[in-house]
Amino acid sequence: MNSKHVVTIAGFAEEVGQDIRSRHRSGFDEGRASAYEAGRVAGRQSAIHGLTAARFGLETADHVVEATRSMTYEPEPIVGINNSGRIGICVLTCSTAEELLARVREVKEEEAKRDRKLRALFSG
Amino acid sequence: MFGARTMGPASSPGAWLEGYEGGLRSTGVPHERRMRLVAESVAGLTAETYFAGYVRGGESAYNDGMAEGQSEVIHSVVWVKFGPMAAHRVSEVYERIREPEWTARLAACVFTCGTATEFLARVKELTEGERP
Repeated sequence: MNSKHVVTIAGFAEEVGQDIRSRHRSGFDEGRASAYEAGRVAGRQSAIHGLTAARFGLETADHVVEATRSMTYEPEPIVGINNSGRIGICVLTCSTAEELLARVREVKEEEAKRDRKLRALFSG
Repeated sequence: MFGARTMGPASSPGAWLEGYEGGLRSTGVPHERRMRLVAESVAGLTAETYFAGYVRGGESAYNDGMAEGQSEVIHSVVWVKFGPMAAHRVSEVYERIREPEWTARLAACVFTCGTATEFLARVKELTEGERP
């Protein structure tokens, strides 16, 4: 048996072992972050759905969740409440389902304007 | 005959790889082919291990994120209708309770209760007696 060759393989195996362990850790961290964010989006949606269903019924709740789907992916607000919270407040303050859906569209349009401004700012 | 193998659950990756290479060598597999099989195994192990970590990391995090997302929305609404104390209580409750059905009950309370006192009493009943 070539001892030099064995040492090389052993060293290589040790390095690979360390690398693979660190890959497990990074997979764990990334899996955790990704699942947490997916859960958070689902949580926002289910809370908006629950609130709307309690006030205006299931059909309106389905419409509102559909309309706000892209908005529930928003990041943590730097200050104040996020759009999901604003939609929740609209459920409380609007008197009719039509008013709520109109308000949801307004919030969505405001968010789209904000995104356009941010994109313009970062693209120079 | 000598396809790249995957690691058994009990092995350490380094020891397994060393054993694998030794096994190939003892059966007379030529050096170049051995190195190719080892490289394939390393790639397989790396991907497999990353994926196992990814799945493991996601197991409990989804429910934590779900509670956080629900809490964000309900907290805002309760703050507006019943004030900061009730909103704070809602956040506390979400730290302990993870059942998805919980939000539907809490949402109903927001509309059926007229005052913060009534709301807090109802939340207390729900958390102590009849959790979904």
